Amino acid sequence: MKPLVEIRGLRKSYWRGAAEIPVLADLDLTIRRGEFVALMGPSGSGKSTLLNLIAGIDRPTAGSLRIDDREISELSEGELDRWRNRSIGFVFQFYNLVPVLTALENVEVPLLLWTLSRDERRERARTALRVVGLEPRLDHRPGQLSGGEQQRVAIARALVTDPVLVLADEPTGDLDTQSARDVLGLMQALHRAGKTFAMVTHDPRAAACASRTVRLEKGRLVEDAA
Amino acid sequence: MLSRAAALLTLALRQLVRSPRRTVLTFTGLVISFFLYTALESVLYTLESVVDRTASQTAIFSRASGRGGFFRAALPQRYVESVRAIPGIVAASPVRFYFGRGRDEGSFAVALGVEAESYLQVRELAVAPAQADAFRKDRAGALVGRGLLESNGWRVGEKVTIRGAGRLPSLSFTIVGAIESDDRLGRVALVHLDYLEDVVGGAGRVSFIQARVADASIAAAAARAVDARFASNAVPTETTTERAHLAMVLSNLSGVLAALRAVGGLTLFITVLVVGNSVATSIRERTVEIGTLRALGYGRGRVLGLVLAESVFVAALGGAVGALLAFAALEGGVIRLPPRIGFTLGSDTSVVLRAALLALPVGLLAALQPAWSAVRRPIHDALRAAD
Repeated sequence: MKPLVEIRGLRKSYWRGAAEIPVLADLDLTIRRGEFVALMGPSGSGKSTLLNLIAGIDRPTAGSLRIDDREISELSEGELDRWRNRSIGFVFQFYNLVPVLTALENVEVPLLLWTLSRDERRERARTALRVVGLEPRLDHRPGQLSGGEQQRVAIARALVTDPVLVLADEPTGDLDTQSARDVLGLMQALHRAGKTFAMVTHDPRAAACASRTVRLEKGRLVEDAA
Repeated sequence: MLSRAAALLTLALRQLVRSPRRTVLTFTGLVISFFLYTALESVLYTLESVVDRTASQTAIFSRASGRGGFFRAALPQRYVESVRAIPGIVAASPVRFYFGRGRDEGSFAVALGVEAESYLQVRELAVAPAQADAFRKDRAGALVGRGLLESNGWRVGEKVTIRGAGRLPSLSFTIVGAIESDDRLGRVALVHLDYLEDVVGGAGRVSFIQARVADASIAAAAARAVDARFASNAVPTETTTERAHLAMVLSNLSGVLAALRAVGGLTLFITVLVVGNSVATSIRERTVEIGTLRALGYGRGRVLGLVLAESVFVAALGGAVGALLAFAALEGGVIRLPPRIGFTLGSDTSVVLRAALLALPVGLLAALQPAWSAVRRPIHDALRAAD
């Protein structure tokens, strides 16, 4: 299958004064369209940094990072903002919903940057909530929803722009077992429907739901198992 | 496009219900600040506009030059005939001040001794013609300003007494008419000069001569001509137009005006700090949310706009409410100057509008620094604030 993410010689370092602290070292990785990749590794292994670089919310120190045939490390900040809005869906550990908005309004948030009529925007958001099984609760605010439901709203928000890649950072880290199972089941269903996922997780049960597991240690890829 | 803008505005303003108590406290602070600011600006407006509102374009004042205060009777009364003879001057009347207390202890009452006929030619008084006639005929009669009547509970037809200040004897007169004026003449009693001189003595000396010129364009020249006429006399004159005279009196208040301006500016500065602190707290609580919006593709400018819109909205609303409340309080007479000041405190829609518009930069300034700091923060760093 055609590669969606092509990473070559990727390096990322942080600086503390004059001291360089390498986080990722000469990383090569390819993610094909339709894959569900779990990024695993101990704390400090660089998996979250890798996810941030793929998401375009951090810049690499060196190397090439092509996503959907675009070298994103060369995009300006404005281009990167627009690209993220159109191409990437985010699912965060703590859902990161806007507490003063309803589920429907939260899902609409990425679409507010699009040129759509109010009705078109609403319809797309409603459809996304239907996909995650939350249409009956679209008028509820995050505080009125369970953790699992909030994460499903977040998944709907990630899907509403129909991105080429959905990035999930510990999506089950704040959920009870049943809710975690539901959320992972939903992600698997979306993967089967053709969505590409990259998920950072510590949880082997979550990783087991992925089609491929990539393990990082000290900024290097140490295992890549389908 | 419009729907998107409305939705983005909703996203910004919905944040105001996140912490209703903070929003209400910030709003209340803004209302109080802009109430005070508008009230102070209205005092300045009143003082600055009093010249335009009350000074006649054709009136000039002559007083004894270098003889102490304006209120002293130091000018020879006989000068008035010479003043009347100066070309361009159509009427002139000597005027003598008398200060005392009205009905209540501590109250303040002013009488002006004038030559009835000539003073009525100098000044266009808002007095019923029959009452003006009664004043001309009754040597012990007086025309009393509406404000002075009301503050003392006096009525037309009544015989009343002003108790003299210091060692001045009391002055009794019959009120034969009311001056319907809200300026300084609304706060005085006009009595006959010869009657006043009979009571207090010191005939032949007056506080000033008030004259009217045929046309406003020659007022300054006429004033110079008066001073030239008496330049070599034992008591030379100092003549100004009424406008210049009032401006001079107000210039003595310049220190007070500057202090009022400083207090107004300080009020706004403190408002910026208070609102800024509230916005900073609110933004700190939303660090992750701002990071999330940025991750979802919202550019720095757009997020900055959302935060500023929220702050500007609260400031504009608080500013408008505060300014309107001050306007209502001033126009409704809730805030008043002491009657002895001689004019009524008021406001104007331009003052209210200016204060309300000033709320916009206040909201902007208050939010700019914390909002800019928030959007400058790297996205991945802002998102980590949840950990």
